[in-house]
Amino acid sequence: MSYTAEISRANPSLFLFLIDRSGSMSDPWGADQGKSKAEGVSDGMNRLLQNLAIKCARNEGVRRFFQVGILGYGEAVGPALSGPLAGRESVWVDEVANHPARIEQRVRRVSDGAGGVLEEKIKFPVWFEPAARGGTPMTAVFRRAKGILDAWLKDHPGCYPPIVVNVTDGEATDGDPTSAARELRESRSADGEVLVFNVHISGAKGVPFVYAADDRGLPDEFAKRLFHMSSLLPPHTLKLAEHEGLPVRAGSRGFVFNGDVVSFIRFLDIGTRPGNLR
Amino acid sequence: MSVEPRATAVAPVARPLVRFPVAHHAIVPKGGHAMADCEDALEGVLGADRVLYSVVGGADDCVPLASTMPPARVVHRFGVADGATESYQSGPWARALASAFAHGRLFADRQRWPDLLQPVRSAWAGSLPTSAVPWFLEEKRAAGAFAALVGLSVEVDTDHAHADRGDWSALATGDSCLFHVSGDRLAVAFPLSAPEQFNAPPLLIGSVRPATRDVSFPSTTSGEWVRGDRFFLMSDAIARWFLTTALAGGKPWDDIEPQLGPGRHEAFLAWIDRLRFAGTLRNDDVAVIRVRMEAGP
Repeated sequence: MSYTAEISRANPSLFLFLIDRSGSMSDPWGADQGKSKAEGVSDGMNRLLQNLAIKCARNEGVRRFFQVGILGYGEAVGPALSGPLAGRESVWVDEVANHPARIEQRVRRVSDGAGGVLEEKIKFPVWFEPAARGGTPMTAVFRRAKGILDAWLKDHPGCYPPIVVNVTDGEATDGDPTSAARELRESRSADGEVLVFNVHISGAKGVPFVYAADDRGLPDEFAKRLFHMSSLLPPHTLKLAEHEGLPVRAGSRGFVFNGDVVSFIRFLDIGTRPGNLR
Repeated sequence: MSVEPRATAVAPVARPLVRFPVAHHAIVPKGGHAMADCEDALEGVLGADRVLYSVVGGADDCVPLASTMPPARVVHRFGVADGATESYQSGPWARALASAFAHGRLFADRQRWPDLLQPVRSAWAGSLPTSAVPWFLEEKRAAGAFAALVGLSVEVDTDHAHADRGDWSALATGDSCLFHVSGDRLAVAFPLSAPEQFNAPPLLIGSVRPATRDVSFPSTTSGEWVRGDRFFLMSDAIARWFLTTALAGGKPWDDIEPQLGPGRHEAFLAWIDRLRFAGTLRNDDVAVIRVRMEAGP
């Protein structure tokens, strides 16, 4: 059965995030007044990296269960981590934990348990900064990702299949990325094909399409293309999403269209929780 | 790694009474991990009111704590706990829970449950390193450790003319399980009774008292044992194997029984490796206590 390999220090896996940094990412996004799409996405990515580090933290330190890479695409295509990890295509999760670009103090509002709200100071490490310039060279970033995946799979042929999450707010400006995405999905480990998930975000009002199982009802050709570029959710992810009350069914894909901040964050959380972490 | 209680001086009878059951245990870390990484724990105390033997997970041998004539009615207690790998210092928490149960300090009293847990929680907190932790451990440390627990109490009435039977009771929170095998039949599977139930995230006991309602109060069950019955306490991976095999018509108790006992640790390891290699056992920590209701030698 596919997508059952254990993830351990002896058999680590890879997350690759492809983040749209085109000019339109500077448009406002969602309920959080004054935040751009680029800022919303970078907050989500930083929180995700934080969660990954925490998830892999054991009493003695952070275990090398994963490598993580972030490629940005916009004015340029390339590695997008900031700080001491800048310029690296992928890094071990313990390097993530130990080398944020900086640690911000942020305020979180929490319930005081008696109907009131308390403000709590929390540490917010930052590895990934917002940027919004240039076009949307999605085909190019998929091709760049293919090189990273091929090298990884050569060294880790039995791994839980790498997960690629592409986050974009618009159509590719460098041709149809369909075949480049297919080539990614056709790369495989002994445990199954690489998972390619696509998250389209939008500031427009309208219902997000999440985890669709077919392309009926999707608003346009671009949405349909992105749907067909997305992998089926593996069985344990489907179960997890079901358990969390998300609208999934057999055939649901790792796909969000017209995503708002909530559906984006939710997707990152569900889509990056492989089952068998040892 | 076993407890074969010595017989105490008793009046000769045709067939020795079941004063002390025969208990064996085994504990194995995940494949590729050291015993120090093991977050499963087990402990059993035979004759809990006058402690005779204690088996502590990870120790090489049993520890005779005292030697005394048992009272008329003795309670033997066994606990298996399984710390959640992703939580902070879950191994010590699992050991604290299994030990507290085996020593009779933790029992199913709904009113007193938070008070019973409190000293166990304090002991865990007291065992933590005091040095500052990096940012990625701060949240985990604040949230504390989580563990599943299953505990079995077996009562033996040693004065009774028919001491070949007695009562037992059990409590459980999470996916560590108890199996009661009577004759050659699985009589009780507790608290989980279907393999797919292992897929759901288990409710666990936290080492930090939650700000809201503490939902860790265990499920309970009870029954009667007769001479020859066997009890198995197991952490989740091996419990799932046991239950799946039994429901498919197999007799997992006959498979595991020969692997347990004095000097059998290597054989148990090899047997676990075979199950893992065959894909019938998930690579997870394994803790097992087997209690056979026969008179110890």
